[in-house]
Amino acid sequence: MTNAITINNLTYGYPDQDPLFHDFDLEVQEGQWLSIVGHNGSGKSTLAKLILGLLEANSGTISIFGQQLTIETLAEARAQVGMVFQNPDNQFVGATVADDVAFGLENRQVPSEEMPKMIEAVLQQVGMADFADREPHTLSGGQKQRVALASVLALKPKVIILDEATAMLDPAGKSAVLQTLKDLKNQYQDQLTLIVITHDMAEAALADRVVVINDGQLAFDQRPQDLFVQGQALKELGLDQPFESQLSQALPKAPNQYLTKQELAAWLSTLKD
Amino acid sequence: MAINIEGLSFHYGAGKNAKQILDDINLTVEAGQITAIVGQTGSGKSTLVQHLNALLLPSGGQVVVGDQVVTSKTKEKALGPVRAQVGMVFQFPENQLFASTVLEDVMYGPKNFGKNDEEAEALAKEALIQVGMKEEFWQHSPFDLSGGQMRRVALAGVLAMDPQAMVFDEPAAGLDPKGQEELLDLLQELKAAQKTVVLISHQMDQVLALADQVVVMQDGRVAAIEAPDQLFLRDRQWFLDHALDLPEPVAFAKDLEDHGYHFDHLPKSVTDLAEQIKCQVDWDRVTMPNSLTGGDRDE
Repeated sequence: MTNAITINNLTYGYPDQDPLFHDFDLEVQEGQWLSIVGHNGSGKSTLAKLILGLLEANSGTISIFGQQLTIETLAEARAQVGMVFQNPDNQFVGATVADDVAFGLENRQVPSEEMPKMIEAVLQQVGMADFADREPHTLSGGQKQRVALASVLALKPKVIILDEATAMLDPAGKSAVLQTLKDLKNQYQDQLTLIVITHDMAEAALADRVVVINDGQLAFDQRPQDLFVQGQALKELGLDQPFESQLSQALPKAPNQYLTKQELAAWLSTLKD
Repeated sequence: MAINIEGLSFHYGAGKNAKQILDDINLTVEAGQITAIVGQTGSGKSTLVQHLNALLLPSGGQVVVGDQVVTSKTKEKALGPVRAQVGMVFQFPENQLFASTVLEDVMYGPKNFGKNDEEAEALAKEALIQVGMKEEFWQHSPFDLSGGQMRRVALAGVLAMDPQAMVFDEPAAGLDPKGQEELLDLLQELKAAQKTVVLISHQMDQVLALADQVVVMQDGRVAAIEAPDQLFLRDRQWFLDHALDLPEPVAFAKDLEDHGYHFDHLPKSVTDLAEQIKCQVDWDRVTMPNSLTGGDRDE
C-alpha cells in the first residue's frame, strides 16, 4: 500500500530549546484513520505543522505520497493536505458560509461558474447546506468546524489533519463533527487519509490506529482497543483510560479484552440472570 | 461573598427588534461554594455570568454583588469595585496574554486596580506559585509556553487581583487529562480559601465531582437549581430534553438498572460504581466464556 505520509529521522526543536523530535519515524498509509494522542506539549501539534510545512525540520525528511517536502515541492504537497485547527473562529475569512468555502477555491483559480455547484456539494457533505448564506459568526462552534471541514474538502485533499478540532465544542457540536468524519470516511474509503490529533479517548477510539507521542517519541503505535487496556502505561503518559476500561479493571473479573460501554453493560447484565 | 440575582432579564436591541436573552432569573450564588452553570450552547449561560461582574448591565431586575447593587441605571463609575471583586476567566484565556514576560502579564491586573509595582509583583509571584508555574518561566515570553502553561499564566493573571469570587467559563476545555485534574484541584483550593467559585461546564463528570449547586439554563431561563446528587437522579429523558450529558458513572448505572441492578446512591466515580456493582454479583459463579479469555490481565 502507498504511504500517504512518510517521516524519516526527523529532528526538530524550537529555537533555544532542546530538540522536541530526535530521529523520529512515522509512516501513515493511504486511507488510514490515524489518531495522534499525547499530553499538552508532547509535540502533537508541532508534528502537524511540520507535515504541513508550516515549520521546517532541522534534519530528516517528510514525504507526502512519496514526494519529499522541500521549498520547491511545498505548494504541491500542501494541495494534498487539508487542515482543520482547534479554534473555529481563527479560520474564517468569508462574509457568508458559502463565501468562506469559495475563498479556497478562488486561491486555486477554480472558474467562478463551477464554484456554486462545488460549494453546494461540500456543504451538503458536512450537513451545512441550509446555512450557505449565514454569516459564520452566527453559527455554533460545531457548525463552524463543519464549515471549516467543508472548506478543506472543497480543495479535494487526499489527507485531512484535524488538530484538536473538537476541543472547544460542546457535546452536541462534538458528536456532530465526529459523525461527519465517519460519514466522510465511509464515502471516500481509501481515498481519504484522516489524521486526528486529540486527547479525547472517545475520539481516538474511532481510528484504525493510535500513536501516542511523548516528548517527541513514539510511545505506542497500536489499535485503539489494544491501547485502552493499558491503564497504568496511559496514566504515566498523562493520558486517561476510557471510562469503560477503567470500570472493567476495577471489577473482580472481566473479559480480558477491550469492551465498549455497550458490550460491558451487556456482559454485566448476563451476570444477573 | 454571595451574589444575588433578582428578577434579572436581559435583551439586546430595543422595541420590536429586541432579542430576549435572559428572562426572570432568580438565584443565589452562595458564598464560599462552587456553583456550576450548565446548559446547551445558546441557553444563556455566558450572558448570565457576564452579569456577575457587571460586564453586562441588566435590562430589568438587579444583581447584588456583596453589598453593591447593579441595575440598568448603575453608573459606569460604580462598576469598578464590582469588577475588582469578581474575577472572570473566559474560555481559552491564553488568547488574552499580551505582555513580553510571564511576570509582567500577571502583574497587569493588580496594577490596573491600583497596586504599585512592588505590591503587584508580590501578588503576581504568589499567583504564579499557586498555579504551579515554576520560577524559571517567569521571565519567558508567555507566547513561548505550551498551551497548558499559557492557560495557567492566564489564570494567575486573574488570581493576582485577589477577587472574592471567580467565574470560569469552561476552564478545562482543551487541556489534557493531567492539566484538567490540576485545574480542578485549583478550583477546590479556591473553595478551601473561602472564595466563591462559578463554573460553566459541559463536562458533567466535573460538575458532579466539584459543584455544591448546579444551575441548569434553558432558553434564557433557569430550568433547575439543585445539588448535583439530586439533579442527576432525574430520569434520562429530562437530560435529553435539556441537551445535557449525564456523568459517565451515572449514565452507566442507569443502563444497568434496566438489567436488574440497583444503586443505593448515585455513583460519583468509577471506583464508587465498581464497588456498588461488586456486591450485587456472585463472582465465584462467574466464568469467562472461551471467546473472551485471553490470559493474564497484566500482560
